[in-house]
Amino acid sequence: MKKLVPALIALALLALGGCKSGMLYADMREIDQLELIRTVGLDASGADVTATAASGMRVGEGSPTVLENTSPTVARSMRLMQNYSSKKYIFYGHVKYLLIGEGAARAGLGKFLDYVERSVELRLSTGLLIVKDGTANELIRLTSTESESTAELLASLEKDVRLMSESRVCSCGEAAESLAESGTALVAAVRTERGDDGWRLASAGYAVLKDGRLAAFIDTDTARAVNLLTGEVEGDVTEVPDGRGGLAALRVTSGKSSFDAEFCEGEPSRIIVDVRVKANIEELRGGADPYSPDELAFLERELASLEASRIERALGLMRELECDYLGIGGKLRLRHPVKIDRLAGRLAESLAGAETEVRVEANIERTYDLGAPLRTDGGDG
Amino acid sequence: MNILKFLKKPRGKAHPEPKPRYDMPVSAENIALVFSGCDDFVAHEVLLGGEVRIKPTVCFIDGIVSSEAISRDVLRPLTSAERFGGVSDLREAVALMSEGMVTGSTVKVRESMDELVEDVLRGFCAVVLEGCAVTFETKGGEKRAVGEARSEKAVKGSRDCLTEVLRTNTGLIRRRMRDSDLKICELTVGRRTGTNIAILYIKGLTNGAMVQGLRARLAAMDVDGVLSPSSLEEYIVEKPGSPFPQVQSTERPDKLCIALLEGRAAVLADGLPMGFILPGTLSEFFKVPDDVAGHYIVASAITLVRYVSLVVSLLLPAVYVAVSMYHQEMLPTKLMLSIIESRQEVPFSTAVEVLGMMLALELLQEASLRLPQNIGDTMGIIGALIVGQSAVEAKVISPAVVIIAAIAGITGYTVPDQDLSAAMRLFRFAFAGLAVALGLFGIVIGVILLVWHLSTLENLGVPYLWPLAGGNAREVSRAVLRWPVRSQKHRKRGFNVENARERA
Repeated sequence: MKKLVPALIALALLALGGCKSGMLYADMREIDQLELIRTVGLDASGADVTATAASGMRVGEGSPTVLENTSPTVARSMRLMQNYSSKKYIFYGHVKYLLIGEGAARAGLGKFLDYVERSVELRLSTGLLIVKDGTANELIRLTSTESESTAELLASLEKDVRLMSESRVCSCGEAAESLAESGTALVAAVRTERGDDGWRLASAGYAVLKDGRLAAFIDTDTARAVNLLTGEVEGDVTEVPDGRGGLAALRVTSGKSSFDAEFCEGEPSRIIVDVRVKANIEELRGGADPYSPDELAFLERELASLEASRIERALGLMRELECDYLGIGGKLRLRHPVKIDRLAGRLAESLAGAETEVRVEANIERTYDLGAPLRTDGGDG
Repeated sequence: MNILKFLKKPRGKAHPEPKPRYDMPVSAENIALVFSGCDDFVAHEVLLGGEVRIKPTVCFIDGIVSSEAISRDVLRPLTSAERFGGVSDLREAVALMSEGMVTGSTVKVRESMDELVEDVLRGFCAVVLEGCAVTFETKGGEKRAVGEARSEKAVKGSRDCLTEVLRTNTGLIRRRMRDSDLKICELTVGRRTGTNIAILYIKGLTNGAMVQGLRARLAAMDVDGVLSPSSLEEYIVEKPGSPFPQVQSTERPDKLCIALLEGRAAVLADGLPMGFILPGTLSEFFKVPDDVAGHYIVASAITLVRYVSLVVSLLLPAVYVAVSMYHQEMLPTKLMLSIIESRQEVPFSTAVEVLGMMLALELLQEASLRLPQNIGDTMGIIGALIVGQSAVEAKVISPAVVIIAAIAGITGYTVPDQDLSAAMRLFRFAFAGLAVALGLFGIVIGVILLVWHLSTLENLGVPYLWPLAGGNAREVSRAVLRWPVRSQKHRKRGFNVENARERA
């Protein structure tokens, strides 16, 4: 009892914390009174920011709720959306995707990412995407229908682009970290397409951010090379000629890249990109014999050639933008730490001025022939 | 750990009943006076040795003695001329009786009325003479046979359980421990009930000061009667105000023997079909004799499950309340959507829902316990299935809350000790209340207060949280896991045993 009484008094004192409405029950909100926002879009509107918020699908409640507001700041725009209902609390704690319109991205993402970092509700793990050829508001309004929500479509797209190795949705935290470290970042790009049954989302490859602004887009084909160089290959079906006038569909199962550089008077004169690609034969449409060493070698050469051309395009963009969005500088630092450190502050320009040499080695590992499953001559299969 | 503090005089005023209670000489008239109005009291004069020179009065309480034993072992020898013929002196008669001329197994010469009355009430047959009496043990009457434990089911252990008869219980222990170092010290407690209480311990193993402290506690008990477990427990624990059990109660003699071998002491009371193990530490309440009967890996896993269950039972409703009222961002989105879906059209707030559901479960349980088994089962079915299902369908309560309350209830019963389980039920409400008021902050405050409270408990010099607090890594692992028997060479240090070595 001697200790219980002080304990109870201490507990009671907690209620007198000095907060205007008291500590008890102060931040309470019932779970069913929350309007769960799943997608937030941000667009530049002159000097102001237009924020668009969309909820996910709710059973029995029709199409997702879409709200928008334009204010000088992101915080104000999003907070003002609370006015839409007296009963519902607009809750941003479960936002899955943050969309930035192309215009806003070209003006700079810094203030948006800054808001995400400081927000008590938005998470750094929120997926970040740039809308190509449009605004986030348009995309959200076009894709929030009675049958689907923007968040669901984006989630589906996120899985698809990984399967096709067309891009990778990074989080706001990753993008902010990359921008802070190297001044550049790769962010997935998305666009709307008119389909037979309405509007749908399609991958637009990557958006390259330089100094916090959108610098360029990378198409989905080149994006595959980017994924190869950044080690993000999850699976990629690539069609190559089979040498008999047909096509062979190859699934790239893994890719390893390594970088080296030759230096001349302290400056990188040549960047050597060594890539090893492993693939399986998925489909043969021209009657090629996958067990023939010659035909297999032909397919491997074709694959290597295709990947090399994609990589050249990706490296060409790096030179053009003078922007090390592939993170080559960081990888070269592991081999030449002193030389790379001497280039601090002008590394991207130095790398852009260097020649590139791309070496691709493709290896087709296996295929499956149910007609002759035990045939092993001429290959592993 | 100050064990000797138990030797201090207990707090409170002395019992108003004076001692000696019957301040009068031993005589047939006086004993009849003491038992006047007791129709089960039987007293009649007999002729010692069949002669009229000395007429002792044989008295006993009908119903607690064996009539056959009185006739055979007391009356027949007393009236036998061969044994007592020619005896004319009272002293000689008493000497002959106490030296075996009367064949009762236990013979006591009593010269005070208090002792005499106590013996008669214990089922002794008294032969009362002027100024003194001789009592013979002739206990009898109806008693329950040793049956199977009802509240502590054994899957792989022994089936017998303690009964209401102290001597039967000590016999069950003795049968398992044929060791003269197993000491059984008996005291009589209760001015009205005169309950025999036995302290059991193994000499040279159990800490002597601990036994001394326990004996002092029991000896200091000055009460009218000991008829319920709590009337004994509250006197032998240090902090009876705590809802947490500080004494392990069991109705299984094998569990009692395991505790004795660990160097702990046990208390048995006549009339109570259970034994008490002291000191009780929190980790001991998670163990059952079946743990030692099964494979150690399985037993360890089950013990861990019990600990997890305790945490789930204690905190799950509170965490649900806190997360759904204050910290919605902590929930996975899909789960949150499910909860929102389930709460649609429910008119009550989450706090009312959870506290109400927990209260409803308690009511159901209480109703089921107090009813005959068949009706109790029906009550459970009506409550859980019909009312619960209807409440969910009528949108009075959300399915998520029903699930939360049910999980909390079920996990609460995986804790083997019912007293600990009951304490946890109480704290479950407290935690839910704190969560309603302060969210997770309230739960953290509650946990801190709970741990603080538990850490202040101590019994017979052993901290309640030992070895979870104060024990080394090996001792903690022994508390939460069951290591192979052969690897446990030493007894638990926390019980301050006099001989730590358990096996070679």
